[in-house]
Amino acid sequence: MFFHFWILGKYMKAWRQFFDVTILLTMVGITMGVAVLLVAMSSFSGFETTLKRAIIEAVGDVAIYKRSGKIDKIEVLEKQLNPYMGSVQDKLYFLGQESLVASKGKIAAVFLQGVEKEKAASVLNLKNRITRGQDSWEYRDDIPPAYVGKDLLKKMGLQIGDTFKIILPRTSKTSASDLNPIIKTFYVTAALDLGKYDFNSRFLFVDLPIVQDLLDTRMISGIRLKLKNSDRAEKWAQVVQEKLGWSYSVMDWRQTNKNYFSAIDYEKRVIFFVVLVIVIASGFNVITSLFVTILKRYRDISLFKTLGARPRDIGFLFCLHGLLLGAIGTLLGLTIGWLLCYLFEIGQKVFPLLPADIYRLSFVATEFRTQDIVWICSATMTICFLSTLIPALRGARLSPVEGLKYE
Amino acid sequence: MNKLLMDVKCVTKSFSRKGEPLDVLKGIDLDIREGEALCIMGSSGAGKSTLLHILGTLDQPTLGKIFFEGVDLTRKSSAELASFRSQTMGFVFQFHHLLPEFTALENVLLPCRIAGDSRRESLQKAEALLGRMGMKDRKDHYPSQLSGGEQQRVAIARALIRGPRILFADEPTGNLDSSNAKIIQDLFFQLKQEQKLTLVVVTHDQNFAARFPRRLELKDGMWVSYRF
Repeated sequence: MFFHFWILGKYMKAWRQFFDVTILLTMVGITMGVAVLLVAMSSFSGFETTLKRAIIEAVGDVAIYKRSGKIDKIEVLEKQLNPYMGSVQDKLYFLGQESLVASKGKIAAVFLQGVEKEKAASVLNLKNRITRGQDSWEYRDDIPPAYVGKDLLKKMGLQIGDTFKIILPRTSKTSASDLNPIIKTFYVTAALDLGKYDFNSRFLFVDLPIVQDLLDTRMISGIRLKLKNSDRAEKWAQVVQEKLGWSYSVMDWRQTNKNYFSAIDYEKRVIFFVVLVIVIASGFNVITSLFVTILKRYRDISLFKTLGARPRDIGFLFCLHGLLLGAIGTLLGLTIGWLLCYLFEIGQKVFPLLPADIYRLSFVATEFRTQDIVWICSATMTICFLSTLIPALRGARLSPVEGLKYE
Repeated sequence: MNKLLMDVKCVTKSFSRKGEPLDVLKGIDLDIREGEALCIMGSSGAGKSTLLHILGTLDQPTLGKIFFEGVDLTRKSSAELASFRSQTMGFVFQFHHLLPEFTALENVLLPCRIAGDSRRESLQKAEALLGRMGMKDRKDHYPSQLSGGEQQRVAIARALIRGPRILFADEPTGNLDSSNAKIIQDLFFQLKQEQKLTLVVVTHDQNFAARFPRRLELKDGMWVSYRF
């Protein structure tokens, strides 16, 4: 074993001398930097995952639309999709229509979606998104049920069990100016939290045949697919898009909100480098504390050199010293960061930290990704290593004579 | 006559003080033969320690050459000199310079650890040496738990652990009371006989110096009396 580890171990054992004020302050700096980095990165990752889950549970992993109009020959499309269905867990037909909701003197524009009720849980996970009410597709006094976004309910002043009307604007086939709106009554069976304000304030799910009857069609707007692995959705969508050609649009969950996710990626990188400044600043503390240590250990350095240590041994010893500070600071930082993330999540449950109408997400979970932690640790350790170089070089060049002159 | 071990040729050492050059050693010549015991004396500031540091390759001369068995040491790099010191030389200082975080045994083991010697062998050697110094029972004590004389004995064991050919000692009894100083002096001569060491000692102590067959005195960076 290298003697450097042995010496450093012995120094550390006398921890009162080893962890003096300068060393402690340096480690506090590194710890703070790493903790803030971890909180920032895991918040961004959690935000991304929360958003991803919200989108997937509301629109599926992949959606296939016909670019012009609606899909009439589903069998033809399904035949084309057959070779790729191995990666698909389940599929759901839907028919979407922009419409109006009217109730208690209020009107709101909504996106009405007719979905296959038996697939609503497996592809869209509506069941898990229910905050109030019950998961029931049963008619009540011949009135069909509707699953409504929670913010839409709030906006309309509706409660579970209340009835409301859906108005589908339909133009006349004979006159350009005539409008024959279709009106249908529904009752609220459940309030949905789809995780994203856009969805919660606009989405409304009903049984597919009802919408088809209202629009007097057997066609569908598209197919929503749940893949066995959501992370492979982009690749799957690309391959299927090539197969189906231009007449169809195959959109994966990321592509549906491409700008959103690109912005998150970009912001995450920027925040990483901004917060890294704290670690860079503590790198200067590492330099200072190593210089102080060199002064304190001048006699030891002289002695090691006298007893046969080469200049590069002394340099290596101080590099190790700096890296050790970095490693301890990083470990402490990760622990404190993890605690802060935990408190952040609890805090959100007690206090609404994120106003849903501003941030569009009602709850942001924090998520620790191996990739983020590897980045944080390597950046911190690289900064600490670079900070050790100047003091290590200085220590390596010290003359052995001066340190031995006095007690 | 024993063979020539070290040959010092016209060594000069100058420092700069407030821009003015200060010559500490002025053209020193010295030959050291294998197995001899040499004492360097002189008043404070005469240049004794500087000469010892240069002989021990801890410092470089401003001018002049130092040969060890014909090899010019002034042409060697710092890394080569470190390795050379580790294999050939042992050092004992006035202030023993034991590391306070290390036990007596660990302090003695330090040169072996630096050189990467086998652990088991070095441990055996260290324990044997501490036994020879009469410190067997105190090997696990820290320097702060040892008396001045004991600390110096540990420092001597550390200097001898790798079997040096030449031992340099800078005022080894300068910090000790007379009884401890006597013990250390005796130890030096016993070890010299046992291990066939070449001994170069710098001292103020007239009694200690009187025991050396060869004594040299420095004054203002030059020999007062030089006996070949």
